[in-house]
Amino acid sequence: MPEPLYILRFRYVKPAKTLIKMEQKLAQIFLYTPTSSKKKRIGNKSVSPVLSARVPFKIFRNFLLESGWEEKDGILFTSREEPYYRAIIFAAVLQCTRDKYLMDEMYTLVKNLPYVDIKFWSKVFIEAFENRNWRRDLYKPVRAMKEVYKYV
Amino acid sequence: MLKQTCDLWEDVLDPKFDGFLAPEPGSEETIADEDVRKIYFDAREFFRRTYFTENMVRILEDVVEAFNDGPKRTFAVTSLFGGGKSHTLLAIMHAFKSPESLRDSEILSFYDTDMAGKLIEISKRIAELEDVEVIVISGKYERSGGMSPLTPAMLDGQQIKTVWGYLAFKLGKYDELRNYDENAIVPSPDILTSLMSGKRTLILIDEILEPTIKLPDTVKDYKKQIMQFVEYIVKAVATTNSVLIVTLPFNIQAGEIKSYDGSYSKEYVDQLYRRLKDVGEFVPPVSIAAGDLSRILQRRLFKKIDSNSAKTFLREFSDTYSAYPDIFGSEDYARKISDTYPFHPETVEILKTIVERADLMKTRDLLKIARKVVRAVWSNPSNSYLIMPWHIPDMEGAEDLLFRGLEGYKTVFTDSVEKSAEGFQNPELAKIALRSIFLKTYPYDQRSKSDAFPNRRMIALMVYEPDFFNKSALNPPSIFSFLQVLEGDVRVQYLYDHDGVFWFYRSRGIRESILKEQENIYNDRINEVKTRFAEYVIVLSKGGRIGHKKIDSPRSLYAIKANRVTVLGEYDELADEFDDYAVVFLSYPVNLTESTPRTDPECIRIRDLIFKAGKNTRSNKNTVIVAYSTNESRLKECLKYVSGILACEKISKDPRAYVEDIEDEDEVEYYRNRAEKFKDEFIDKLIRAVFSAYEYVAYPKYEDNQDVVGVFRMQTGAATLLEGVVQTLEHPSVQKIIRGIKTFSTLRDVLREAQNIDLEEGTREYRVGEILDKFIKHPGMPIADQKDLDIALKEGVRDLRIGIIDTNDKLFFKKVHELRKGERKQFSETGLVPPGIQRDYRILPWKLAVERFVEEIREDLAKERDEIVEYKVQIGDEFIDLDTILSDPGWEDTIRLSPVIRYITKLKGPRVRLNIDPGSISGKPGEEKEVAVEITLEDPDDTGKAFEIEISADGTLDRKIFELHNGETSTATWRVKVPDGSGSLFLSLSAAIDGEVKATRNLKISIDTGTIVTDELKSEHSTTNLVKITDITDEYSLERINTVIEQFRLPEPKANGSISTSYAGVIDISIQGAPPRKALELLRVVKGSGDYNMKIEIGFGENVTLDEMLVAQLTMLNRNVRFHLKER
Repeated sequence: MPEPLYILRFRYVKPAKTLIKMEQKLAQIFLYTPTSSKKKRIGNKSVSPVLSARVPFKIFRNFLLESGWEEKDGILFTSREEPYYRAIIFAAVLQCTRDKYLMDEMYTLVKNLPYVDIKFWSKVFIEAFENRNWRRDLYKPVRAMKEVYKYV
Repeated sequence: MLKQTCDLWEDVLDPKFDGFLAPEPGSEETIADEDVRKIYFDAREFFRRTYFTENMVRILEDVVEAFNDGPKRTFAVTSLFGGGKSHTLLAIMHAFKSPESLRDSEILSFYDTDMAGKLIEISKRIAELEDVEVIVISGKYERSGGMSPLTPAMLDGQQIKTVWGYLAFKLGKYDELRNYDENAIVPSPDILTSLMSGKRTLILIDEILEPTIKLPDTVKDYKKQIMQFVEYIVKAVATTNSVLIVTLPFNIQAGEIKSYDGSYSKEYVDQLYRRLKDVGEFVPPVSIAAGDLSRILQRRLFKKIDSNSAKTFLREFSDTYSAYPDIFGSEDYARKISDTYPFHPETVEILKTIVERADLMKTRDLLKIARKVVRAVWSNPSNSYLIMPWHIPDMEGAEDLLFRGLEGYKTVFTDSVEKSAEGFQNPELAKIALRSIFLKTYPYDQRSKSDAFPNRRMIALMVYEPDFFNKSALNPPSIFSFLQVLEGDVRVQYLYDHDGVFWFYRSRGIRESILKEQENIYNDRINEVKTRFAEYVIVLSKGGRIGHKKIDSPRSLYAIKANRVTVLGEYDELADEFDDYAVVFLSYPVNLTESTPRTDPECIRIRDLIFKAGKNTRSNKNTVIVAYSTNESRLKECLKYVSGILACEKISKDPRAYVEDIEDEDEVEYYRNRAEKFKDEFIDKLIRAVFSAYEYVAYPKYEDNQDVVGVFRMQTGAATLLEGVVQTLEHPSVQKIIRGIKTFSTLRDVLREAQNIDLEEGTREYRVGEILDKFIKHPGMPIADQKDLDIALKEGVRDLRIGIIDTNDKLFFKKVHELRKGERKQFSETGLVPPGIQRDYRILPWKLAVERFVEEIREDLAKERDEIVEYKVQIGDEFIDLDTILSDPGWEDTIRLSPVIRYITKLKGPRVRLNIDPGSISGKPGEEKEVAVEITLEDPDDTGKAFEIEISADGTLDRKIFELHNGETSTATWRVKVPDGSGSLFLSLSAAIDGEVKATRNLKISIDTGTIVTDELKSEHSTTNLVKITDITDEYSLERINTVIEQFRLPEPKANGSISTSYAGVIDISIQGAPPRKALELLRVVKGSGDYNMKIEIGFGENVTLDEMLVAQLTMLNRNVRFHLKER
């Protein structure tokens, strides 16, 4: 079976109001397999993202590159599952976090989660999102996750 | 105190006696020093320094009994080295040699009556025995029995080789045993019996095993023979009238040798014991109870203890103890002290434990240490009440004595006790407390908790000493508070504690692990630490939890919302715009105080933070409040504590990884709890540190027409940081938060002072949004809650000081009361308050509001209707026509303060309609004006009759009486003279048919006091001065005026007013004294987004002299604006 390819790209998003200045972007994560139709190019509207979230650009990109994503022409990609899962979780968490210190804490948390945990949580977030493709649907599961790791 | 109540023996202060603390029997001749010899070998002197323990008296009694045919003949005094054996032998020797000295009153006075009676009894009985030969044999000294075939002793010219030879020599029967001595053969018991028969002999044998170590192996036979000799002599003694007392360097418990001095070989120890155990009575010289020890110490060290004067000092102890039962417990500890006086009971206990546990010789070293301690106390200038445990390490050569056999504790003592005490708030108290704990626990050399270790109460008892506490101005509770600090302090590395019990152990415990981990985290993971610090600061601001500690949410906040708090790192930037107040805590130090000059880079840094968004100026300049620390070390301390918290968290997760030799799960749990406890302590410290670190608040301020940074010291005592900030801003010398702003008068004063806006007496209307924006845009304004501003504005309306016009152009000002004719009612005059206040509403100063109110009344009057509406003003009990009032100058006040009543009268019969043109006039006082009046008659009944109408008015009418038919119209001219005064007033015109008023009309007269307001500038105005141009509502006019101003260089033009648009969100710009060009620029920006509303006026610094050129330029603006002119 051919390996899947996970793609992530950043788009413009209306920034959330924060007290500390940070550049915010919309991160969209796509699942792309060689069997996908060639017409459906990356970022094409007909391909809906697995998850999209408003993230602070620098922090998130830094996280991606550290966790094993590669960058080419402004698009990030990986073929491994683990970085993909971690990206899903961190993106979802960042969507629901505004305090800078919490972002930093989540950074370390998500980076050090064991594999089983990330597999579980990423599935939770993807399922919450895919129903309506609303970012707002992530809030409850993220809150649950924060609860589990005692951040609430 | 101590020095007054107690007299020391002279020898105690002299170190030379230390080596001769317990000279053995038989050593008399070897002691060269006369003083020393006297003390030990003069019976009286000796007894004065001897404390007869229970056991010693028992032996004495038994010995006397033995001479009187008692059953026991052989006694063994057993104890290890320094246990008091030799002293006991000496005492027995002296007792038998000079029994009368036992009865010495000075000696007896030390004992209670029971004991004294015993001693007298013994002394008497010994005296009765008369001829008892006392022979002392000491294995240590060659001249007193320690000889051997290899080292014979010469006594009175007689060479003696063996101990039995010596015995015979002492009995004066050497010749009988000469053969045995010369050939070194042990005489049989029979021979020994015959040797001793016929005489009462008391044989004291001390240190009989000494030759077995002293002598070389070549005389091994002799060593065995000594054992045999002991066996035989025991047998011999049993059959003669003699008593034998042997000292054994063993510790015997339950018939077994528990321990013995290590220098002896086990072989001889066993042999000797085997030979004695069946026949001898084993008696330790000193019983286990500390009572004996303290008595011995008292006896040996002090010549006299004045117990009467000591009582007063002891009372001080008992008073303190009973005053603080929670600390010292309810037990009568003072009684214990009186037993051991002048030693603290624990001092004796500790000395005992030290000599027992450490590699020391019991009584001898105890005495030695005690002497040194006493000497140290006596040479100390302070005058203690007692010899406290913590005095012990003060003695000279303490280290050698205290740590013999426990060398590992030397570093513990220097590191953890003496050195770390310096780091505490009260180093002296810390030192004595740590010393007490240390001394009490180190001899046990035990890592886990033991019952012998001191708890808080015990420590308090050990530490408290009135002299020290008075001098240091301490009280007993400070001991407990110190212990509390100690529990959470990781610096005392070797200290262990559990459930309020403290002890020291030679390997570092969890404290060191935490300290190390804290250091690691601080050095390697500072980012994590800073993140956590930010979190804690925010929790401390808005409430929440830190560990187990709950921080309450702030209660008395004002205008600043709890979620608008952030911690700003050194490289973070604030977001560009805030539409609400935000509090920023800086996590880096800024060296900015009240006295820092404004050009200082640190000051500029904070100024930029408050006033700048990126490279531009922040538009809401009054929103950012900064709290910061000037003290780098304090911030560092905070970060250290955060590292400590992280370290504790890490260790409590897995204690095994950090603490060595953890044995079982219980211990893991124990260390986990400890780590949690330390974490709590770190949290407490962190909270205190954070509160003391953030010591300044910087806020936007307006001074000397400049935006500046105000700095004020953060107020202390608040429960959360945010409350601290709010309290600081509320401080009378800051006044950034004025809670009184919710009253209208305060709001008015603030606006008048800071913005030159007069809501009450002003001459123009203000948009609510404009006023609200002032608060977040202008640095000179206080911080205010919008709700409070609403309340204040509503209050202004209620008190009729302002009017408010809502978006539907409805005026909220005075209420109009409706009454039918003939009705009567009392009205309280309050304004009509709008239910809510929105940004688009307009505020009218009361005069404008009154005018508008009257205008509305006039509009109402002008309406066509089937009834007559009259407005009256109630003054006192009278109802006065509105018209009458309006014709008085100062009518605004009257209208404002009095109820206005609307009367409705149904109309019957014909009606008259009045029209005047113009509706209002203006002119200078005294000027005459003409107004055209049009009268129309309507007759709804259509009777076809002609009616006579009479019109009347203030002023002159050219015609007063008309006769008109239905639908007919007639005209008249009304001449009005402009009255004196200023402002405006109203003249009324009424029409009546048959005396019944059918219609009224008001003419508004604006009195011109030299100021001409016109919308049409003519060449004739070229002789006047231009004061200001108002009602500028379009871009063209503004641009034109601007061009003219620049062209003619008109002096100091200032634009005031507002520009707003509600297309795609509300933009609301308020202009105060800005250059017209700026206003124009702003207008162009606003214009881009669609429709706009503008109302601007431009005033000049001084009146502008109009000339023809200028007039020609300005006439282009005719009918677009209003010119305010003043005659020269």
